[in-house]
Amino acid sequence: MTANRNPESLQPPAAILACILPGLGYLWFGDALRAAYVFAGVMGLFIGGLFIGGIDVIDRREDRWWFLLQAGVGPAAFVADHFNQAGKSALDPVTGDPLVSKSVGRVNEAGSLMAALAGMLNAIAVIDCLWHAPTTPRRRRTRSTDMPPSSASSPRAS
Amino acid sequence: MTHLAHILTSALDASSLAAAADARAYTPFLDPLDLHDQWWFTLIPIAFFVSMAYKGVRMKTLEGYWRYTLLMTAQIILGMIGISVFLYVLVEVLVPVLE
Repeated sequence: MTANRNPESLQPPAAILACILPGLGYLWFGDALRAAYVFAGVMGLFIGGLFIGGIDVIDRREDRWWFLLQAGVGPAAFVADHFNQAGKSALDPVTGDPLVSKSVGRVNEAGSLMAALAGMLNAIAVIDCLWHAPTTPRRRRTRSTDMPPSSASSPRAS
Repeated sequence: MTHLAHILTSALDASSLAAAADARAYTPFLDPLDLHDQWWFTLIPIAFFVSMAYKGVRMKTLEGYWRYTLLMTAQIILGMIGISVFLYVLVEVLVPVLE
């Protein structure tokens, strides 16, 4: 959604970067502020969900449908799921309970919802990066060197 | 004397176990927050972060970003309160009258 005069076109590298880390796709276009806002919004939701509901809200095995939406955040969701699966099987040395507590009730719902919203919002950002006006510095440099000599030279020089 | 030492050792063990259990009582990110009675407070961070990400993607220019983000946050919260009031009146007042 960046305002520029270039026509929008398919941008697979930006979309791939946006899949890897929220906001990284906008950084590819040189829009650092937008990248920071998208990153803060998506990761705020994701980490907030983990904080409220515990890491158990990301569970690929038990909450498959939730995870399908949460996976939109990218590798962070898979890393959280990995730690959750490992934590469930590990036992606390003092109490003997699983290291990761089972999250239930409203708190679990709120945490799952936050992480799922993060995934869906990042999916929107990925689609926006996929179909975006090319504004990378590389493209700008290419255009300036492609200009004809007469228009490329400054008025003072001519 | 030996008996006293045994009692003291047991008490120390018990207290250290209790302290360890207390320390384990809540670990951020491993345990969920105890917000079961105030779960609806989570609407505020949800609305704020959704607004942040959504406005970050949708706005053509980022002029007035925070103003629009806070406005959308307020709209979501007020909208949810409005829906809650509507549903409460529907279920608790209108439906009993119609029955």
